Amino acid sequence: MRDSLNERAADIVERCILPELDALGGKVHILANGATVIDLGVYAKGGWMAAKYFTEANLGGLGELTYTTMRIGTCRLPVATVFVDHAAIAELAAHDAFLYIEYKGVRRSVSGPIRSVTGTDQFAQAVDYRDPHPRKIVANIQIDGLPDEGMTDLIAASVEREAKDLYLLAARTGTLTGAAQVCARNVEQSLPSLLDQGFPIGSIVQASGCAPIPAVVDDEDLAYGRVNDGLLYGQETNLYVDCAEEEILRLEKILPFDKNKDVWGTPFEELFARCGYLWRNVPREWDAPCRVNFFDIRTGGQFSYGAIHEGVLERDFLGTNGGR
Amino acid sequence: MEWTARAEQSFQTLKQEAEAANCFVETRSGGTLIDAGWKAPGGWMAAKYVLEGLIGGRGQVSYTHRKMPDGSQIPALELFIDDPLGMMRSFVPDASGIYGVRKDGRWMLGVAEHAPAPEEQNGNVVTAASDSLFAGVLRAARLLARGVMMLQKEGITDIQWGWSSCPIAAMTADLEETERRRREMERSAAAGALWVRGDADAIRRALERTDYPGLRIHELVTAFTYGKG
Repeated sequence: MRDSLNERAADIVERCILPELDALGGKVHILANGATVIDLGVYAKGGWMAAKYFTEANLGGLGELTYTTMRIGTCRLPVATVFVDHAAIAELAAHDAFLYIEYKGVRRSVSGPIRSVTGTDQFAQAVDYRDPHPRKIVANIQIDGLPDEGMTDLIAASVEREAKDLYLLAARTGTLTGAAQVCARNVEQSLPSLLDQGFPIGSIVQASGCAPIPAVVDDEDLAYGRVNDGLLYGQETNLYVDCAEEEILRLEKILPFDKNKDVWGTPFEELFARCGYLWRNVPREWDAPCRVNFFDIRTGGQFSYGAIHEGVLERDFLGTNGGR
Repeated sequence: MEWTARAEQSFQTLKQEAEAANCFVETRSGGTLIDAGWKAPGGWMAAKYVLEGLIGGRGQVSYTHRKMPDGSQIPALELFIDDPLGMMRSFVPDASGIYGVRKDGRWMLGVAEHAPAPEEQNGNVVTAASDSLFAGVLRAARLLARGVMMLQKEGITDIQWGWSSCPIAAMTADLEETERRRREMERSAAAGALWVRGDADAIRRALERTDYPGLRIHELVTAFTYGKG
């Protein structure tokens, strides 16, 4: 992979986002330090198309987000579907939110191709790909306030660059942009879990995934819980791999989220509350994919692990009043 | 890109692609007429181009297949809309029955379904018979617009986003039977939702006025969801 993920993402920003901000429901802010902060759903309205470009830039232009619907229980829900090439690079070196900064006492995670510039976090280090000298660096952040000069300075400095080179795409969870881009993290969620379990990441040839978008609500804490239910209880990832079947078979009981028998079926809203609403308190085992289908190109074997929980998803979709 | 410009772009795309889209193009004194379902068969792409123009490019227009109770998989129209109010305005017909997007009194993209050609044409118009596939797809799209209209009539105007999924009923030469099938599909298989901020009673009244049982309204502040009945 020789293309610059940051340049591919910058192309999406410059061709699809900046000229169409009005249609996308977005707003651009050029900060005093020269950083370009693009509000696609913090205070701006955002929407389906804003989420699409937010995600595709986040993938370094190596994938596509489209929408469809699926039946869950008695309801039909909208669904975020992702198709990604060079999945290991796109997710582990870009899409996964594992670049951390600490700003004004709050630890924040940043995603996007920016992570491939120096590749310093543990998941970026799992792939060889680096993008050391792009013209522009592109980052994404899930946040409920607009990033300022101090934050953008920190983000750029984390990869030894200046803020004037930064495109930062921002959205909070309590908007459609935020909800859709979280649910588009279907393949994204699966790969770190596979890495945790020692799966040979280099054997992944192709990937796709889908997850229902069960809820969009104004309240950020409520949104956080319900949107993440779309991943924990509804996301399904397809991985086409070229490896020995033993590498797949041993994942059956240790990979999917339903391995957590004590909490499976509990809405994330409740689980997050138990963790004091702090991601650092969430057990790593909980950040696990709902369902993964392996297609082994080498042997022709097909294996599926995990289960969708329609009850939690339908409850989220029907809202606080149960749809009545 | 401005809504009107996007609508005109869609018309021009359909005009360029007319042969591939199974349409006929006629230049008339008042503008260009594209037959997408009278003498021409029209089809999927014609309807898709037009819908993308009617929504001003603010969203996704796509086809999928939905599984029916009898096990068959039939085509369905899916919409994911970033400006539901704007979309609704595109479906409001004028006195002559043409709906679409206008600028300075001219149709950038007008749609007519009641006659092969409007008596007086003023701009870009696409025409199709009611029993055509084109008309069936636009009918499926219009469900969500009708839901928005009902909300607006009840005073709810903070309508943020929406989506819909409606299978396309098979057409027949019998227009009455075609209509019956479409109504049945809307009643039994169409689904959709709109995200709004507004009063609960107004939402409930709007839902009661729709003929779209599968529509849900999500109220963003209370996190409540409302359905018909």
